[in-house]
Amino acid sequence: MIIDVQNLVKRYDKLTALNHVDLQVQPGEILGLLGPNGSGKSTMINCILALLQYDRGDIKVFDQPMTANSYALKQRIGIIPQEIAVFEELTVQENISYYCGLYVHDRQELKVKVQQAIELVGLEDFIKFYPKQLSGGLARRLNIACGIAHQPELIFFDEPTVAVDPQSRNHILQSIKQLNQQGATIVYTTHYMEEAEFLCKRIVILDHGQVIAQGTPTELKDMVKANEKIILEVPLLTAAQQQVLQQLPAIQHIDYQNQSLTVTSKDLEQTLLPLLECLKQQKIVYANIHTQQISLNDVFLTITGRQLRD
Amino acid sequence: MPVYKTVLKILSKNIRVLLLGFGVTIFMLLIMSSNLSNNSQTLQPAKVAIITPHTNSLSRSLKQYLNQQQQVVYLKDTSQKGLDDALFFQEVDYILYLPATASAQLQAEQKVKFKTKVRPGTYSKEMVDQNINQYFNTLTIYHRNLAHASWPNILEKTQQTLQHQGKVRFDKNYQRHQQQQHTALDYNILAYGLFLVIFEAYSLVSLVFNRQAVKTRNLCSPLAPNKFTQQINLGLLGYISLITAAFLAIIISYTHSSFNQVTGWFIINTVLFILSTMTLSSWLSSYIKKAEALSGVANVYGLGTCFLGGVFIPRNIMPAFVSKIACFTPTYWFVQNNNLIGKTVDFNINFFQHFAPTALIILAFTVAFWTLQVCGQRLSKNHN
Repeated sequence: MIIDVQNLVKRYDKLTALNHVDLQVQPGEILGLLGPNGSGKSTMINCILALLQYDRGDIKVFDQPMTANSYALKQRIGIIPQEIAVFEELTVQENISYYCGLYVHDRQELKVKVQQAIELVGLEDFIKFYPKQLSGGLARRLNIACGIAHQPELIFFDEPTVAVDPQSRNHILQSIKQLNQQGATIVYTTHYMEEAEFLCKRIVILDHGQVIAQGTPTELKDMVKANEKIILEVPLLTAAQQQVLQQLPAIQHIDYQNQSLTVTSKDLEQTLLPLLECLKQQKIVYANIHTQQISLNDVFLTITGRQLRD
Repeated sequence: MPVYKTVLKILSKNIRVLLLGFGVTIFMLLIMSSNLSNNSQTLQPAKVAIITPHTNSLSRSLKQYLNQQQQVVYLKDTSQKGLDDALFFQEVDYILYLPATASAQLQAEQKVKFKTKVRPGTYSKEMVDQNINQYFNTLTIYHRNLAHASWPNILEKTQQTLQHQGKVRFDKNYQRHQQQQHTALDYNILAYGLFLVIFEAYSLVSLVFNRQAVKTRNLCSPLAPNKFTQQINLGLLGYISLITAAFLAIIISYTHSSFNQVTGWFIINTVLFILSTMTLSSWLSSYIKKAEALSGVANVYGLGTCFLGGVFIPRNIMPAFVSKIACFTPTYWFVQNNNLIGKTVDFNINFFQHFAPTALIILAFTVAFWTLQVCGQRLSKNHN
C-alpha cells in the first residue's frame, strides 16, 4: 500500500474538517480526490504530508508512519501545490534545479533529472526565462517540473490545471499519464470532472470531511444511472401529450421548456425506442434528438446536491 | 547546498537594491572625510582688533607685538553692532578693549582690567590671552626692575625680549589623536550602512523563503527546517562578511589607518554591532510581508536610530531625553564604544573597563533579539 489512512480525524476548534476518514492508495494507480471547496481535500493531503497535526487516526506512507521528521519518506514524495510555488528571482532552469537539488545531491544526476523534467513538461525553449515572463500555462508546467524533477514514487497534484489554456491543460494531463506509466503513484485533486474521468483509475469523493463515495468512474456512474437524459427539440407539445409520454416505461420525469423536451430515465435503453414509437403515434414533430450521458458531475450532484465548482 | 546557493543568487539578483545602502554610506564617508581633512593641523594666527579711545605708545607697542604673533586687523565700524557683525562674519576672532588709562595704571603699578570678545568655537581666546599676558607680565617686570629707565625705553626692551617667533605645531600624538577621533566618526557612519545592507538582505531572503507556497514545498522536502535555516544564515553570513570587508577596507584606506591596536578595537566593536544587527534584522524581517514595506522600515529605523544614537549629530548637543531613548538601541552603544576608542591614547585595563560593559550591552541586545525571534517562531508554530 502506498498510502493507508485509517480513521483520520482533524478538528479546527468546533469545525471537524475530517471526520473518521479512511483512504487507501494502491501502487501505480491515479487516485482522484474530488470534493467541493471546504470538503477536506487539502486538509487530507496536508495531514498525509505531515504539514498538519491531526487529532486521531493513523497515516502510513510506503507502509511506514508519516511524521514531520520522516525525511526518508519525503525523499520519495513529490508535491505540486495549487499555487505556483517557485522563486521569481530564479530562471526556469534554476528553479527546477533548486527543488531537485533538495532531493538529489549528485551533481551529474541532478543535471540529468532537471533536463528530463524540462523535456517532460515541454519547457525546453524557456529555460532562461523568469517565472514572470511565462504565460499562465507555462508557469503551471514549471510548477509541475519543480515537483517531479527528482522522479518521486508518489506525487500529489493539487488542482494543477486551474486557469490554464486548453493546450497547456492537455500537455499537463498527458505528462501526468506519462509519469504514471513510468511507475509513479498519483493523488490528483481537481474540480474538473472531465479531468478526473480522463486520468483517474479510482475516485474518492469527499464532502463535509467524510468519504461519501468511492470507486472507478464507471462504478460511480452506475450508482446514479437513473439520471440519464434524452433531449429533443419539439416545436409543440400539449399537456395531454406530456401525460401520455409520462406513462412510458422507466421514465422518471418529463420537462418541456422553450420547445425543448427533456426526458429523465432510469434506463436509457428501455426508454428510447418506446419514446420514439410514442412520438410517431402521437404525430409529434421532433428534431435534434440526443442523449446526455451520466458524467461525474452528475454523480456528484446526485450525491451531494451541489455543483463541484460552486 | 541548494539553499545556500539560492540565497546567494537571490542576493546577487537584487544587488542594485542592496548596494544602494552601501553607496549612500560611502558617499557620507567621503563627504565627512573631506570636511575633516580641511581642518589644518598647523595653528593659524588669530585676527585681533585692539579698540582703544586714545592711541599712545603702549597701544602702538602692543599692536606691534601682537602683529608679530597674530594678525592685527583694523575695524572701521567700532559700534557694538559693527563689532558683533565682524565677529559673526569672521573678520575678527578676538577684540581687545584697551582702556585709555592703561598706560598710567601700569606706570603706577596698578592692575589693568581688559575687556575682550571672542568668536566662539576658535582657539583664539587661549592663544591671544597668553600673548597679552606675556606682554604685560614682561612689561611689568621691566618697569619694576628698571626704576630709572624711561617708559619708551621699557616698551622697547619689552618688544626686544618678546621678539622671538615660532610656529606652533600640534605634536604627533595630538595629530594621531585627532585622526583617531575622526576615524571613530567614520566607524559611526557604518552603523547606518551596515543596518541598511544587512536588514535589506535578511528581508529579501525572508520574503522569498516565507512565501506560503514556497515554504510548504520546502517543508515537504527531505531537508530538515533547521538545515534550511543553517544554509540561509550561511548564505547571508557570506554576503555580510563580504560587505563588511568592503566597508572596512574603504575606511582603513581612506583614513590611512594601519592594522594596529586601534583598528583592531574598531573592528571588534563593528563585529559586535553586526551580530546585533543580524539578529535584529532576522527578527524584524520575519514581520515584513511586503517588499514595499522593506525600504520604509529600513529608513525609518536606520536613520532614526542613527540620529538618536549620535551618528550624524554629536550627542552632546541633543537633549538628555533623546539619549535616554537612544540607549534602547544597539546603535547608541556602538557609537559610545567607537567614541571611546577614538579618544583613547593608551589601551590599558582602564580602557577595557569602559569598553567591556558597553560591548556586553551590545551582546545583550543580540541575545534579546534572538530570543524575541525564537519566541515569535514558536508562537506562530503553535498558532498554525
